[in-house]
Amino acid sequence: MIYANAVSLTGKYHAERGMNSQDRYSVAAGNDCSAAVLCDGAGSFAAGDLAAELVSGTLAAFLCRSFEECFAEKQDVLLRRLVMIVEDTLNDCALEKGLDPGEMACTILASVMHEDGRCLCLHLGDGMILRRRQLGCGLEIISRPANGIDSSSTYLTMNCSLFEHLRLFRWTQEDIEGIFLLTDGSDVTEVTEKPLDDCTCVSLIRNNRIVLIPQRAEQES
Amino acid sequence: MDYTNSITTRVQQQIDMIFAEKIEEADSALEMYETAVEIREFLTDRENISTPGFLMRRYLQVHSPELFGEYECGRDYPDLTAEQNVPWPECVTDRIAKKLSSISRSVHGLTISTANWKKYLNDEQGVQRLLAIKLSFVLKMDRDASGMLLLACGHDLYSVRNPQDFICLYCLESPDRRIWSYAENLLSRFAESSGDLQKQTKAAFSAHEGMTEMLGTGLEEILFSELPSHDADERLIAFMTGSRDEFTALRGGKYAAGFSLTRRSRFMELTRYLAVLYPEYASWEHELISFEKLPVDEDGYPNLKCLVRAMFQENEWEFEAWQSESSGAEQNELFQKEIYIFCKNYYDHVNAIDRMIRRGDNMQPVERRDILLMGYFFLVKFLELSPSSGEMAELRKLAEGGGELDDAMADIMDWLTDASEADDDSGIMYYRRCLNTLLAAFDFMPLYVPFSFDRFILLSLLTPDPAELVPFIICENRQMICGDLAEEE
Repeated sequence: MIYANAVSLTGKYHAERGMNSQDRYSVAAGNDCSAAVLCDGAGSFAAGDLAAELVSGTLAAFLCRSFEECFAEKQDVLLRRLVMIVEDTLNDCALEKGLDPGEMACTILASVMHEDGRCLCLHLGDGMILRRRQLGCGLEIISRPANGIDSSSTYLTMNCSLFEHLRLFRWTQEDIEGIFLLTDGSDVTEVTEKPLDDCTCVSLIRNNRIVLIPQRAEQES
Repeated sequence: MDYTNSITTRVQQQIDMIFAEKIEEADSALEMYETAVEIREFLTDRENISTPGFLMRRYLQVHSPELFGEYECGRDYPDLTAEQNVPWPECVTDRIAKKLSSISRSVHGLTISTANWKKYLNDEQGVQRLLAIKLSFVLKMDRDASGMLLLACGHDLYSVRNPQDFICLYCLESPDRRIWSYAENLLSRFAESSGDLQKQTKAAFSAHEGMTEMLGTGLEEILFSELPSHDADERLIAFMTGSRDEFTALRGGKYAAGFSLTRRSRFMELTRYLAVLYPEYASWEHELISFEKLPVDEDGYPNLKCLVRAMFQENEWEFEAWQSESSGAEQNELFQKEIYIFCKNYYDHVNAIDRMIRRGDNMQPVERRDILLMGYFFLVKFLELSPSSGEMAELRKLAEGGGELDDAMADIMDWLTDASEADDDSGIMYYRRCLNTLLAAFDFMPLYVPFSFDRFILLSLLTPDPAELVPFIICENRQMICGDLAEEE
């Protein structure tokens, strides 16, 4: 059995300004696998949160439904297919709402895990994907943040070549206990202060409900 | 995706594809000029030179526009994708240099001051190879752009035989790994898992043919394996540790440059041709000059040091005379420091190649500029030969050897014979063809006019006194040839 968990903290920056977090996530299950997709909408773009909502939902459903195809397909063919799915979804929405497609900007952190240990992850932009192999073991990095020249810039949907920058990981690992998706602003080892950015952690855990939760800071009044 | 070529060849092919386009553009620009005078004017125009600073500024403009803040491209600073090598306004350079200094420290753990960044962006200081690689990381360049920067600085491309280069290629492939401290960490892990190479490996490094391709293929497999980052790093270290005998050795805290056995052997074959054209050199003793025949070493090849001395003397790059005058440089109006440094550096470089070949310590590979310079010396002397001379017959006989270099030299000699009958204006077409053929025989990229050294060689073929060009073309920008390098930071 694979369980999905999520926890989200509003960052200090957004809290002080009364802004909501732009992290959105979706989970899906079926075909003996579970998928989780976490997207961070770009705050400086008009429709970042909308993009995050759409992409997370669309990808989660697709990855779960088409897991076998996704795992077997050649890398370039799969990437092209994923690019089409993401960009068509965002373009259609932009057209419908009269938005500039370039405003539909978000990052992507996605993972789908099969009961037999096969895993697939996708990563666009910053944030991080981690795994834990056995209970009690440390966390290992599946995918690191990809920033521009400094940490203030990253790769976003509709604002970069998705085919070039969407990273794909596929592997089989029977002893994997959990995969963790973290948006920018998370510290996987310890969060003792209120993060400046929103941080969200979505995890897929196999066989038990224990999950790594960032230490929740007290809300400042 | 199906990769059948080694990373070395693939990197070269990628650069070649990019350069094929740029070379075509540059060649087209060159071919617009009809007379030698016009060509010389074009080649001496600084705005046509692709300097390291220009490449970096253009890359920043395209890939990191957020650094420029309120400054707008086209309005506040020139659009370098449309214009040639023109400087930025000082205020823009100041801003970018400050940002880069901060990023170098905070993201990469590198201490590169704002003042130094300004110098690099303005081409006020040459850049050593390792520093050029570090700058590539700070600018988050991909492999192609980083390779171009290395070439613009006058250095050779990445070699998979060098562990540091190998790891840099791995890191530069993906934006999330383009962090210098990350690359350093991987290198430390490799050094640790391999043990202390300085103690373990034998003094003479013995290379195995075919291993360059093996290393390249191994790297590609890791890069495109779709493994999680952690696993990819582990596999990289394991692969490198298992192949440690094929990597160059650690000496004095640095890894020796990568090498190609084929290039070495062809380089030595090339010296046979040059020895026919430069059979003797002059030596001074107590103000008496005597001419010595070029000695042949035990391996049957001409003595490299003496050959270089003969070539420089014959073409009036009188290194030894300047060396003796260097102590009184300020008083000697005829002494030109830049030419002295240029010649001295080349002698030192050739000495290093000589040691590499004789002792096999692999500390110096054959570089592209070696071939360009040797090509120049061959061309200028060959053009003076009479078709019926003994030297011509000897050269033609050498070219019947059947090797790839011999075939190239046969073609070159045919073209030069045609060139000697052509006028000055079309001669440059033959010279370019000959030099490109020679470069191709060594698997180097063709002439690229925007590069300083390439330009210097072409201009040298168009002027009776090329030594005069050294300060103008090369040393004015204080490039590597002059030996005035930025200290590694």
